[in-house]
Amino acid sequence: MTMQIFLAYYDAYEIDGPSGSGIIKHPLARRMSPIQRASASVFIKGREAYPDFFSSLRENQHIPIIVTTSYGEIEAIHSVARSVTQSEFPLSPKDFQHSVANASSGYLALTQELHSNIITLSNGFLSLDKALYFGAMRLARMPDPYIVIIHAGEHLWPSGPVAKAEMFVLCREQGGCLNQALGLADFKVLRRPFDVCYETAQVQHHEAAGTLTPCFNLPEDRASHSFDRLVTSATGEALYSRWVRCS
Amino acid sequence: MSQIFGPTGGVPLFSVVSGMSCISALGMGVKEHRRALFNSPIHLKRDHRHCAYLDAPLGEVDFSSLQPGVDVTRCGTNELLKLMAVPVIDQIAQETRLFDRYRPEEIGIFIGTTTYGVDASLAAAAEAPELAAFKARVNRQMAYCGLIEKIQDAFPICGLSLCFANSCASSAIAIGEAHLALASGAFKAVLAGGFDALNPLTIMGFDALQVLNHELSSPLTLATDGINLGEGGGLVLLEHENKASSCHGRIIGYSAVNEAYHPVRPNPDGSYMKRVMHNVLTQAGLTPDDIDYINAHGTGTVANDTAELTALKDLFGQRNIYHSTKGWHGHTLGAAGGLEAIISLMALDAWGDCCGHFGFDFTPRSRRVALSNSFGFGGCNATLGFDRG
Repeated sequence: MTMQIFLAYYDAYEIDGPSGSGIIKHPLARRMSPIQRASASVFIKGREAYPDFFSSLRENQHIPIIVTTSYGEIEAIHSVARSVTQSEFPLSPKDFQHSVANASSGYLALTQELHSNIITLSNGFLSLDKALYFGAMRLARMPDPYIVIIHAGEHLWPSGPVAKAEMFVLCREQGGCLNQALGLADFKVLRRPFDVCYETAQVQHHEAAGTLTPCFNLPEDRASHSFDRLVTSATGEALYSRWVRCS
Repeated sequence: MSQIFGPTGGVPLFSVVSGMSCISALGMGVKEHRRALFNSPIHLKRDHRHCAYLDAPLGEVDFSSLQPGVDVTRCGTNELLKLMAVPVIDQIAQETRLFDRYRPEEIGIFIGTTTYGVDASLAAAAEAPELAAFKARVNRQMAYCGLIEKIQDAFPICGLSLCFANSCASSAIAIGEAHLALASGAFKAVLAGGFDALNPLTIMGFDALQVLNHELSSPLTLATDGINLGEGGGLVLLEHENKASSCHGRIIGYSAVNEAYHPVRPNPDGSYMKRVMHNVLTQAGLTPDDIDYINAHGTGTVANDTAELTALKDLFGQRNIYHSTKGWHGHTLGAAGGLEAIISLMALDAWGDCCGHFGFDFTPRSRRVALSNSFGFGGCNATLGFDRG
């Protein structure tokens, strides 16, 4: 039997500024960090577009959700690290709670009432692509046909949007009610030296100073044709994936 | 479209734990842990490298036995984590001939941690008190997965590597997901578990949450309230049954759910703690009466222990089959699931001695079954199930 894996849904949400609350209508929203608000907001955006599917995740605890972040809660980590190194800043218990890498998973579960297994991964520059690889690999053997992946991170630049989250739904069946129809035709973990065919990937990201993690950034025009993607870390490890438009 | 990840089908019923090793305040390796468990298990002390700012018992690893002459006060967490991980993998490799039997790309590694990168964050914050300047200093040394890179520098492991960050359930989830992933065909063997090292940020953070016990904790008794922190970790080598060179036991179930109750506190009714244990029983086709031993999460806080005791009593009644070993080695945070999974397997291996020593209920049968619970911030609850024939 041939195994096929499809990208059934993709969307992104960016938090405009430090006080931007996203679209979360929950008493906890004002406590949440930008990365937590971005993660919950991208989920809410999906639920507003496809209420049946995303609301069903509340009841179906067998569909895992993978939340991935490259460096976690940078603002909170900064705050607690500053408190430890400089005694004039008292260590805030809230900042410590928020500094753990799965804080956004916790707030996602709390605000969206999700009881699924929310797996938090943190794999530096390769975070998103490892999560996609892991999700596809897990999906291939699990009884449930879907897996949800949320990739969230804080921006490093000093002004403008402060955090962004992207959400993906991978599934084993083509079509359905969701917004994308890309198939996953190939996915490999590579180590240098690469074969020349990988070097020519249309979407390439290489880890370098100043870049935290590559997003997927799937624009409409790219969704309309096939493309391949190569992400290489500074250690030489890389992930290559080939995405094809399904009719 | 081609097939990428092996044949479809159900998850296998079990994967074999063919190798295992651990490190904690109790010692280095399975033998030292076994000796400590049955002799003088409490290895927490006040005279530790963090005593200048914390007057409380901690479970500190004896790094000088790993690397004679090492000055741990000058080592950052990244270095300490590597110091712990390398001998653990060395032991497993010697026991199983792992690197002789598999090519590097056939070996995966799933690690849970919560403390890799702390040094780099502290250094950046010391240099840059303002957030913008701190952000400019964010670098790859702050990413948890750096621990895996250090391991890969020391050992030929080139299969899929993943770093799990589910707080105190990190390494339990790493092991559970490795168990599921083994079936995908992405690798033939996978090292899974985790490590965490004591450091000022974690200690002060838990102190700020007011959950540390400044005296010796007595988890699951409700006689004390608070955690004694520790450090260490453990890894298991998982293989398919027909490929395994030895067998310490099998993983027969894994479940993880989210409580969605509170960012750091457990739901006092213990319902989702009960659910993960129940799910594992269902996966393995077992009833509560089939369970011989449970290594509870048992942190020592009244909030955690009340909820977990409610779940345990709901499911297992008054049977005397569970305890928490955190009072002996401390709460090793993201590494707890890995370390305690190995202690669970050790308990099954020496079940007669365990019952005699700890007063557990003894039921005569040829197959022994254990559960290991790990619960973390963010509402994540995980249970692993093991058996040994």
